Amino acid sequence: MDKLPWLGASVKRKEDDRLLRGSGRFLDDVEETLTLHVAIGRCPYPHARIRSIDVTRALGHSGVEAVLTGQQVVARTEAITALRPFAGSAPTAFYGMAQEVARYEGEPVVAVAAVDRYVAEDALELIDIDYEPLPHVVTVEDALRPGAPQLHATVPSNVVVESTVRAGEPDRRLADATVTVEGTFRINRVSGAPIETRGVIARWAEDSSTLELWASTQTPHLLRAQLAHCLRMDETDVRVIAPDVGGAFGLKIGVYPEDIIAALLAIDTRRPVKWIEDRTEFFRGAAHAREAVHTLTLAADRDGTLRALRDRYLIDLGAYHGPLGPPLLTNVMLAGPYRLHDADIHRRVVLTNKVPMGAYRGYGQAESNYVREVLVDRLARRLGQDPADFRRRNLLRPDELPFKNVSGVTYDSGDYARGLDLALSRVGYETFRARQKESGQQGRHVGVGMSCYVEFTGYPSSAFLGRGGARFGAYESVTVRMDRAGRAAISTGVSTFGQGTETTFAQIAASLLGLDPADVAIHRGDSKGTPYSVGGFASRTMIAGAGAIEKAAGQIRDKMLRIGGTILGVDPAALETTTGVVRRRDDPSVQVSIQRVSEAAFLGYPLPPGEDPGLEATAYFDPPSSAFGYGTVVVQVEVNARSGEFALQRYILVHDCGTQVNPMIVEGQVQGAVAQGIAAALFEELVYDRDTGQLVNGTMVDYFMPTAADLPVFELDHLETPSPVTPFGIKGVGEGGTIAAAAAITNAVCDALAPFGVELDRLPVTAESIWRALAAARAKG
Amino acid sequence: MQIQETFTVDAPPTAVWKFFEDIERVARCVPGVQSVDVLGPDRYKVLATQKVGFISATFEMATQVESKDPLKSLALSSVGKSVKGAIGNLRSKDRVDFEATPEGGTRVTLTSEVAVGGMLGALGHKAIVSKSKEITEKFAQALQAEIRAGEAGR
Repeated sequence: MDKLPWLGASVKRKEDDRLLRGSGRFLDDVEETLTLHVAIGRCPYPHARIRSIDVTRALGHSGVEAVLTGQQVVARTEAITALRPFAGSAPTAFYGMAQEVARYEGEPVVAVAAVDRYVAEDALELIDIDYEPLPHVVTVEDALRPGAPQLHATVPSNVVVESTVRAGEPDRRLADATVTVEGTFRINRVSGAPIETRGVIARWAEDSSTLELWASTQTPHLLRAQLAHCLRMDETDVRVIAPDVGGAFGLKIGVYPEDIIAALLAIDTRRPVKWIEDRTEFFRGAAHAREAVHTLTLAADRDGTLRALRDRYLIDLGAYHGPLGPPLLTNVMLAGPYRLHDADIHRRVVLTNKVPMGAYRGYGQAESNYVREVLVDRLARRLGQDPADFRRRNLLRPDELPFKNVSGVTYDSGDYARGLDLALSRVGYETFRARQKESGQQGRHVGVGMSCYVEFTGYPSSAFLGRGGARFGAYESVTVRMDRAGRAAISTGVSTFGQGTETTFAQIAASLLGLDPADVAIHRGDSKGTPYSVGGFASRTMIAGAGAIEKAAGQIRDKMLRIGGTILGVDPAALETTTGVVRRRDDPSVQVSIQRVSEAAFLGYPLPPGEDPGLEATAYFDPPSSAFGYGTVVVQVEVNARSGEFALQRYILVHDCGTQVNPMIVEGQVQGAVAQGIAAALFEELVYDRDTGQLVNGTMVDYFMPTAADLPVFELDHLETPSPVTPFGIKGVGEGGTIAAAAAITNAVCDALAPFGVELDRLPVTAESIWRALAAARAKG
Repeated sequence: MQIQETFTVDAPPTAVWKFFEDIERVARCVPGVQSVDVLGPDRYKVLATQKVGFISATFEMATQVESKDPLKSLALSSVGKSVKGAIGNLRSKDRVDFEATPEGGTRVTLTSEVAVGGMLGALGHKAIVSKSKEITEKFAQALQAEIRAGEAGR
């Protein structure tokens, strides 16, 4: 193939033209005439039987058009299906609304459609619901106690899934190892918290008996598939459209109860129905993420060779198994970038009376990185080794790749130690220990912490997903069509939620077709008129999408060469496309414009004999392998050993995402992910009161999502090792920044406070948690 | 969450105790209380509206006097749910302790264990604690005035 002129160019984002002008169209900007607005009544108890609901007064309220209760929803719909059902997992009948028993505070129990949101909210107050509060559980430990309240009759143990991964001879290795360390770690429950909350507009098209759903989603096609199933409709009769999406981060994947509620109300009223999530609903209804308790053991030889890993962990699923549910990658990526052959990983996914868990940027990878990297530091300290030396000894070398890790996935490429060394050089690590000692003598406690990761991006084939029972594929698809003017239009089911796909897809297509990215239009996010698509998540869109574009654009380019050959009277094999023309390779003066070629395809003449009109191709690409990014975060902190207060002085990330399609977009993605990684490490936690089962900080005042002013300057460096297994060597990049933040910060604080023997084992890391750990260390003497 | 507030009334414990025995009179001093109906001996139905930030809710509560230790303490419990405004529910166990001050007044200590559920509960403790401080302060002032008025009327 010829070189790809736009690959690796920091082209300004096409989507920014409209977004920066304020011309973006987000869900709430869409307003059809005669729209009804929905308010949703939510259960105010963590666990309650609904004895009765009286909606009479609400129905009589002026302006109310319809009221929907759980009984109707359950009778008229199927339960929400898991996109990735687990073999042997018990069903947790998850409907658009609770019918008899509500299982988390915030679960929808009734909905009103009215002429405006004010009237709908007022009408909610007129609905009399008689609840019988039931005993609740909000911690995994409580949920596993004998006699604990049971959430679902189908799951008597409150354990939805239990699974084990074993490789090698972990028991023998653990028994034989010179040193073992064990730690129990608590990972905080957090939220992806996009600036645009969820929202949906449902419209029943009377003329065609079809349902049209506008949704703030990152997976229009998967939402359509799930919604059609829930509503017992044919998929063809459901259209899902995602306008501009103001952030998604994993929590806008698949169907939500409110999508079903809006659809039913639209069908009942024959009017467009809109629901926009307010922020208090968001905290009590949109997927939460990350919460887990791990007890991890690492074993090593005297010389610091890592020998085995054992993990026993509990995931706090919340009250239902939603479309995605618990992360899989915690298991898959637990071994990280190290040379490990022996592992024993056991997980239990546990029900609690809390908001159902879903995906969040770094899904499972941030969790496994935190527990492993913090324990690696403890192990190094136990061995009296420098944490960097310990890592260097155990990191996989480039010549050991591809490497199949203990969970069975194959790392494709990279130079992990080089990433570590580069990050350490940025902080001047070779002289740091001396400086640290000096600071210590002045009573200042400075520490450096590091965390190495390898990152799973994209799925290794639909068949791989299928072996796990997934109800979606690994592929992505596009239709590429040339218009008469010689411009290309790409139709993709992927929506735009900040990831820059409109620009990067255009760069790939423009490179292959001989166009400028400005001449490639993107039609996106609409299930109608786009081929089956999986959607934007799992750092997979660029890999799978690039493959689809390569195939479709390749077909179009070949046809352009054939038509050009006819127009020029030249053998197509002697032609190439470049910068708007089809021309002879050996004599560029013999050329015809792509515009002229496209017009010939449109008119149907002149064409080679037997050639069909049109310049259009649809292609699917199913990646055969995942690509593994990697990187290292190095953090420098100074800690006040009396109060626990601390300052992040340096935050360095060196990462490798393979070929960068657009370095500016990569930088933006990494910056955003780092911000969210630090947010979850230092600030954010959704707190439930154990006694009342209530989420107690469900507002932006109490949930400490940081702003730019709360964050340090990030120092980023990129390495570029093209993947041997993906189109153009691309690896995914959207999630990496979140992965290593918590461990690097924790390790830095523990390094600073090593003279006190401080160990941290929970997130977020706060002045209070450090102060408590200091007190505990002092008490231990 | 536990909330504790202390204030001093310029009246001896006997007068303050007498006041607290008349729950309807006490209720009149609590900001936001709209009505108190007697359901039975030491059992009341209380309707009260509170506004926290931009959210307001009217609660209907069943309040029960759990125990009385004359001149010393009083214990109450309440269970209720909102009937207007933000959907939610409320449970509280309250204890009032009286202590004579050397100056001849009474130190009143209110200790409440409050659980707020639903949307209001998600608002965060800070908002609710500061609201309860505000209510207590106003209650103390009203109580002082009411006792004085009662004494004046005698």
